[in-house]
Amino acid sequence: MILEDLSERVARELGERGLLGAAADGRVSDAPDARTVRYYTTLGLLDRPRIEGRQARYAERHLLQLLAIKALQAFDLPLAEIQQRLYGRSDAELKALVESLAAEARTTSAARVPSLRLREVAVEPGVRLVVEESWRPRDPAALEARIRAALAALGGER
Amino acid sequence: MTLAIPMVDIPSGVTRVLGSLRAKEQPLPLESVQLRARVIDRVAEVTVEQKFGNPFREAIEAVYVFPLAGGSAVSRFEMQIGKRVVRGRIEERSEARRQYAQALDQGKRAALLEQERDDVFTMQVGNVTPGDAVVIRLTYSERLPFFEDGRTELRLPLVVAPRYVGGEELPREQAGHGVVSDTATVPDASRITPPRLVPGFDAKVSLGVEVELFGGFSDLDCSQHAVSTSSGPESARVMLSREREPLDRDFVLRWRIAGEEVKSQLFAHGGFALLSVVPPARQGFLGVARDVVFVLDRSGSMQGPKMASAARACASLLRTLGPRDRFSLQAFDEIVEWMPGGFQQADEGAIERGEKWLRSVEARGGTELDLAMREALQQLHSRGESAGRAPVVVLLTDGQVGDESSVLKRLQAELGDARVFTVGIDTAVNDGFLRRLAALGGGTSTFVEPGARLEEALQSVGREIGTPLVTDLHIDGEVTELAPARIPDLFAGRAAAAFFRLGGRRVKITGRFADGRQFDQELEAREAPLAAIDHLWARARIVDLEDQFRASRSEAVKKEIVALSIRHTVLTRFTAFVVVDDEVVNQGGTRRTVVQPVEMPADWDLQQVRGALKHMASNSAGATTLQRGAMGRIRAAIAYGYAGKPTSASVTGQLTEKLIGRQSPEKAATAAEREKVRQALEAFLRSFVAARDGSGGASELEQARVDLLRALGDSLAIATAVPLLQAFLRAAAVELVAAVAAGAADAALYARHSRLLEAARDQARAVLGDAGAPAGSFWEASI
Repeated sequence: MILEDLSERVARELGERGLLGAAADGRVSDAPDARTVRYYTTLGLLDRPRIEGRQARYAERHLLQLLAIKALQAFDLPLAEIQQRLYGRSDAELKALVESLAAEARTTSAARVPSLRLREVAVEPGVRLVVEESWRPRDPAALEARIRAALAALGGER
Repeated sequence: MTLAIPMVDIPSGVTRVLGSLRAKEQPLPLESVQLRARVIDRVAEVTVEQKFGNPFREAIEAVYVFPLAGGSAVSRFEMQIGKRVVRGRIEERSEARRQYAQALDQGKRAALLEQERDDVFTMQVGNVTPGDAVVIRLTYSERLPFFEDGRTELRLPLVVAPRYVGGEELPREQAGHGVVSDTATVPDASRITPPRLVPGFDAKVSLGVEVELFGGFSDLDCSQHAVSTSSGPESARVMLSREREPLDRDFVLRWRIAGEEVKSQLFAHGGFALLSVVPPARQGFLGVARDVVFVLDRSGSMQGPKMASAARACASLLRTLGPRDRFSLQAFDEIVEWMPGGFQQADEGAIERGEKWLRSVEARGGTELDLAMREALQQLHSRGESAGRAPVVVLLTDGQVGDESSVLKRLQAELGDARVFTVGIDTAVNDGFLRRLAALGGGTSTFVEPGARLEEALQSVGREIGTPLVTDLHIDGEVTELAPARIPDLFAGRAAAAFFRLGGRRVKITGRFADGRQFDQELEAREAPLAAIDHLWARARIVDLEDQFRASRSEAVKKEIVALSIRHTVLTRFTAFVVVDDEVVNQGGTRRTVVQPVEMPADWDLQQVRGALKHMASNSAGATTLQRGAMGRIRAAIAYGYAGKPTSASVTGQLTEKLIGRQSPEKAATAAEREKVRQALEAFLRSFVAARDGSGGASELEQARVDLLRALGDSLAIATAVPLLQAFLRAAAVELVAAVAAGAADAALYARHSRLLEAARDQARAVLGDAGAPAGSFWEASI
C-alpha cells in the first residue's frame, strides 16, 4: 500500500482499538504523515519501504510498527522509551503489544466518553460542513462527487 | 465536552507484553567497544574489540555499521566464544558473504566484516544465542601523519555520521540494513546509514580506549575526551578518564615526538621499507602567486558550532594570502553561491569583503559536493591571466556525503593543473574521504574540531596551500613496487611517506625545489619492529589501484586488488573477512536481525529539528503552526538524509504528480517493454566496450544503436524518461560510429564518450528499475 493508505489504516485500526486520543490531549489521534514516517525510519522503528517505480510501498509489518508506536504514544511514553521498547521487535511481539495496550485502554477507560473531535464550518447560510479532526483530504474529485451525491440525496440541488 | 482522564499503569502493562526481553531490558546487541592502540615509529597498531550479547529469547544476527580510521589496513579478524578463539580468513567478497550465509543457515555462529568506504565498515555476527557473549576482535595498522616540528595525531573514530544521499531511489532489493534507500548516485546508501538512537535512550555500550606511546613525547592533547596518563619505563599509557562515554565523536590524540631530532627516516622490516621524508626548512623563497577558490560547505549537517567554525576557518585562511594572490569564495548546499566579483586581488579591502560575506553564510540544505567541486574547477580553469599563477581549491567541510566515488572520479577527470586541499571540520569527520580527495588533488588534508584553537590548528595549512616546497620526488636505490607509485610532493613542515620493497640499506631521494634548485637526501635504513609494514605497503598499493579502478572499471585491476588483498591479508572493498565456528547452536537457523542503532555525532545541532519532528510525530496538524525557521531546518535534515530522503524538490514533484494525477512514465510501460529496452541497452553497452577494446567494429555498434532506438521507440513512456540516453544515441554515438568506421577513434574519444554513456546508462537503469550495479557487486560503485 502507499503511504496514504497506510496512514488511513493506522488511524482506522487505532480507532477500532480505542487507542485514538487515549492521551489527555488527544494528540495521537492524527494519522502519521510522510515526514513522521521518514523520521521513524531513521530511528529504525519502521522498516524502509519497498520502492516500486518511484513510489514507496508499505506492507503489514509497517502497519504493525506504526500501530505499536502510536499505541505507546497514546500512553504518553516519550520517543526514547518507545524506541527502547520496540527496537528489533518481531511482528508477533508487536501485535501482542498492540492488542494488550488496546485491552489496557478498554479496561481503564471504560467510562470514558469517546474523544471524537469534530470541526465545523459554515459553507453558506443553511449549510454547514462537519469534519472529523483526523480527516485528511485525499482525492478531491471523488470528494466533490460524493458531496454532490449527498446534496442530491438531501434534495439540495433543487 | 469534558474528558475523564484515566490513570493508566503503563510500565507494568508494557513490560508484561514485552516479556520476550530478558532482564537487561535493552534490545541492543552491542555491549562494549574496546580500543587498544600501540604507537611505535610513526605507525599505530590498533585492536578493536566488540562484544555482542543477545537480550532476546531466540538467536539473533547483530549488524553494526561502524568506523575505523580512514587510512587503516585491517589485517586480522577473530571471534571469541568463552575461551575459544576462532581465527577469520579473508576471501573474495561474494565468497565470504556466501560462506557467512551458509554458516548461519547451518545454525553455526559466524561473523562477517566488510568495508564500505575507506572509513566505514559493516560487522555482522550471526546465530548469537540468548545469553551468549561473542567477542569480535579486529586489528588494523595505520601510518600517522607527521610534521617537522614533531607533531603527530592519532584519530580513532567512534561513530558513522549521517551522510547526505541524493539521487532517485532504486526500485530493487536493498544492499544493506541501513535506513536510507539505495539511490542512483549512492547505490549502497543502505549500507552506510545506520539507524540513530533517540536522544535520551542510553545504549549502554561501554567504551574503553587505551593508547600506548613508545618513545618520548610532549604536549599531549586530547581535544574531545578527558584522559589520564601514566608513564612506564619505555612507554606511556593514555586512557579515558570517564567510564560512561557515549560513542558520538572521534577520539583524537595529538602529541609531539620528543628526544630525537625530527628528520627524514627510512624504516625497514622484512624486506619492506617505510620512507618518511621531511622537507628542509623554507629558505626565503616566497613561491608563486596563487589563485585560490575557497569552497565552503553550508549544508544542513554543518548547522551549529560547525558552521561558525568553518566560516571562521575560511576567514583565517583568507588572512594568510599575500598581496600577489587572488581568491574567490563559494558556499554550497544543493546550490552553489559565489561571492560577487569573481577572482579578486587579496588586498585588505577584498579580504574584508570576503570576511563579511562569510559571516552571512548559514547552514541549510543538502550536500551536493560534486556540483560544488565541478563549479570550483570550472572557475579555476576558465579564469583569466592565469600564467605563472598556481590554481588551488580549498574545501572546508565535514565530508558527510555518500557519493564520494563520484566526487573522486570527477577530480581525476577534471583536476587539470589545480591542487585540492581539504580542511575537515567535525566532531566525527569523514577523514578517509577527505584524505583521499587531497591525495588525488596533490594537496594536503587537515582536521580540526569545531570550537576553540581553530586558528592555531590552521596556521600551517595557510603556509602550505598551493605551494609545495619540493616536487618531482624520486627514489634511487634497490627500490621496487613503490606505493604510492608517485611520491607526494613535499609541503612546508609536513612529512610525506611512501612504502616499497628495499633490496639494500641505502636510498637517495631527489627532487626539485620550487625555485628550480635540486633537492637531495641520502638515507640509511634503520631496522624497526614494524610487524604491519607489509599490510601497510599492500594498503598503499591498493589505494593506487582503487584510483585506477574508479577511472577504468578494469577487471584486471580488480583481480590485482583481490590478489594483493588475499596475499597480504588486508581488507578491501573487493574482499571480506569471514569467521565460522563449527559448533551448531541454532538448529534450523531461524533468527531475527537486529541492527545496532548509533549515536548522533556530538555538536550536531539537531535539537530543534528533532523537536520539530517529534512535535509532528505526535501531532501532524502542528506542522501548520511550525515556525518558518524550523521548516528550513527540517528541510535541511531531510536533504542530507538524517530524516531520510528525498529532497524537498522531489517531494514537491511527487506531490504535484499525485495532485494532477499524472502517472510517472514507467508505470505506463509494460514489463515486456522494459525488458526489451533493458536487453537492448545491455547489448549496446557490450558493443561499446567491444569497440573500445578493439574486439568489435563500427557495424556492430551501429546495429546495437539502432536496435536500442527501436526498443525505445516502442515505448514512449520509457523514451521520455531517459533524455540522456536519447541524446547519447542521437549525437555522441553517431559521432563515435563514424570515428570507429574511419579508424579514428582514440582513447581520449572513448574516455569522453564513456563518461556520457555512464550517465545515460545510470539514468536508464534507474528508470528501468534495474539495480544500477547488479545486487551482487554494489561495492564496485563505492570505490
